[in-house]
Amino acid sequence: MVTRTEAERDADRVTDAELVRASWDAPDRFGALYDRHVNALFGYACLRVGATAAEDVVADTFLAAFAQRRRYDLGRGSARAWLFGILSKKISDRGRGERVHYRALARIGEGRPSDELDQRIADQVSAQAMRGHLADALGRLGKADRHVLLLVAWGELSYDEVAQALGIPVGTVASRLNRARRKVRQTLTELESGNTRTGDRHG
Amino acid sequence: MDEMDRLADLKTALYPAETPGQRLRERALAGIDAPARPGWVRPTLVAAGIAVLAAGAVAVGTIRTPQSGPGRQDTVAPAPVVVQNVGFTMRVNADGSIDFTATDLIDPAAATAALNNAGIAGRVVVHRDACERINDDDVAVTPPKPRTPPPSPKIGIMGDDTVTLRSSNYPSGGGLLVVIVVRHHYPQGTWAHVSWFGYHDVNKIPTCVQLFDPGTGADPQQ
Repeated sequence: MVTRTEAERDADRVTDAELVRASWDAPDRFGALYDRHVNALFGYACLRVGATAAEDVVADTFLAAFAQRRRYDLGRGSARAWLFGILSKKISDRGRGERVHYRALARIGEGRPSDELDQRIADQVSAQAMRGHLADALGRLGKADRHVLLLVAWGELSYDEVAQALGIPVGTVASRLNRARRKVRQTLTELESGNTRTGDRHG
Repeated sequence: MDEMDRLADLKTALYPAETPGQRLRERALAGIDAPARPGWVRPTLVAAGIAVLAAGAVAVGTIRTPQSGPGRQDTVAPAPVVVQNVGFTMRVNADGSIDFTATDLIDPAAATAALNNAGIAGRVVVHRDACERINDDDVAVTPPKPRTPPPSPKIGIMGDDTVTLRSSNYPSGGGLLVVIVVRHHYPQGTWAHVSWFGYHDVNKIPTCVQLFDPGTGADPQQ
C-alpha cells in the first residue's frame, strides 16, 4: 500500500492559481499543474484529432500555457478552462487535421477502418455505422459550434467553463450549443435516411 | 438515443486506454528548462538610458531641491515628485524611475499623461474584455519578477499594487504598456493589479487591452 506523504497531501490542497503563481518564481512548480490536467486534456485531444496528433497539441498547449503563465487570471482557482481554451486554439490551428480525423472515423461506418486507427479501437466500435455518421456530422459543423458542443459533451465542461475557455459570453455558449445539436441531429437524420447531402460543409 | 447520448457513446468507444507517457511530459514541460527570454540589451543605447536617467534626476532636483546650497551640493537625494489621482499614485524617484501604484479604477488618460510627463513613453490602459490581446512579437521586455502579492483565492484578493517603471524597460522608439486590472470583491474590497510590457515600437502599443488569454475570460466583476 502506497502511503502518501504530507507534501503530496499539501500539493493537493494548493489551488491551480496558487501553482501558476508559484511557477512565476519557481518554474518547476508548473509540473504539478501538468500532472493534474494532462489526462483530461490528452483524452479530449485524442477524441478530436487522434492519438498521434494529440501528443503534439497537448505538448503545444502546455508550452503555450507556461509561456503565458504571468497572464493567467489568478482570480480563477481552477486552470481547467484556461487549459482547455488553449487546447481548443491549438486544435483549430491544425486546420484540416481535425476534419481528416473525423473522415477517418466516418470510414469505420463504411466498413473501411483507417490504418491510422488501431485495432483496439476498431474492436471497441460495435455500432460502427451509427458512430461513423456521427463523426461525419461533427466534421460538417462549423469550428465555433464544434468547439462548444465537444467541450460540453467530451470535455465535460460547464457552460461557464466553456465561456471562459473560449472567451465568449455564457449566452453565446447556449446558443451555439443549441445550433450545433440541431445541425448534428439534422445531419444524422439525413445520413441515416440515405439522403446524404454533399454540400454545406464547413471548416 | 439523442445526439448527446451518441456523443457520449462515441467518447466511451474511442477514449484512449493509455495515459500520456514520459515523452509527452518532457515535451510539454520543455519550457521550464529553457533559458529565460533575454531582456533587451543594446550597448549603444545604454548610454542613452543613463542620460535619460540623469536628465530625470536633474529635472527632479530642479523641482524639489531648493535646499541645495553651500556645502550640500549634489549630495542630498532630491525629494520625489508625487502625482496623485483618484485610483493611482505616481512617484518619480531620484533615479528617474517611477513607482506607479494602482488602487482602484483609474483614469487612464490622466495616468498616461503623468507617465509621459515623467519622461516615460507609452500608455496606461485598463484591462477590458473583448479588447485586443497583447501580441508577443511586439513586446521587447517583460518584467523579470512577478508584480503581485501571492494570491489567496480562498480569502479573496484585495489591495493595491505597485510597479517600478523605467525608461530603460523599452528600446529606443518603444514605450511601456501599463495595464491595470481592477476587481471589486464583495465584501472584501477592491483589488488592483498592474502589469507592464516594454514595446519595440511605441506606435504599436494598443489602446484597448485584454490582458488575459481567452482561456481565462476576464474581469467578471466589472
